[in-house]
Amino acid sequence: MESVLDIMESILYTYCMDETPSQRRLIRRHRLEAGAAIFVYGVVMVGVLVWLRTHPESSWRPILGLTPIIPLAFGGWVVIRLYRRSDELLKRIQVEALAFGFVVSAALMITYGLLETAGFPKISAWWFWVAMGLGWVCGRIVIARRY
Amino acid sequence: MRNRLRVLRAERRWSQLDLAERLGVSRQTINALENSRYDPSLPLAFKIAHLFGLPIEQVFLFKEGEQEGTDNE
Repeated sequence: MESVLDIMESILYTYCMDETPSQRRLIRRHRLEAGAAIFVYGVVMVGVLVWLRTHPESSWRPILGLTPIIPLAFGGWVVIRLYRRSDELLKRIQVEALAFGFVVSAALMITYGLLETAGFPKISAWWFWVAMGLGWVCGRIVIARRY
Repeated sequence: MRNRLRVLRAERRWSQLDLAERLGVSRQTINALENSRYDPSLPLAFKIAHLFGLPIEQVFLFKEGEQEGTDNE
């Protein structure tokens, strides 16, 4: 009976109970920073796409085309900042989720690479990022369930 | 590794949130520790023992061959 209650309490804490005030502050701050990074990236990306369409002959195209890397670096800094401020279990979950995402996205890319050699159409490099991101998110869900 | 965290916490009438706040970790970490799903680092284990005013071996119960099945699987 006691073990059943333990399991019920564990489920309750995992899915229903709140986090500590300091953790809530950390998450709130991260959401704010991540939101700002995504917003700036979106604005810069739209601006760059519009400029590239209106200046098809400019020699500045390669340089200005890379401008979204700046807000992207800001986004990377936001993720690293969250990692450094997380406690040891959350750090472990993130690292395992990244490893999971790396394996899944590598498997997907290698599989499609083999299919390309067999005649499938070439796909844009953007899909690599999509595969990595999805692998990371899936890894986060799968790994977090273990703890 | 098994531990007496849940009992020690209950004796002091602390919630998981209370204990997490005192240790500066997430509530999820306390939950994983109490359910033996995660073994803490040495500094965190000492911090927990220090908080309860007990030697570390009275909080964490190490048994040879029991490592498998927790976080090292």
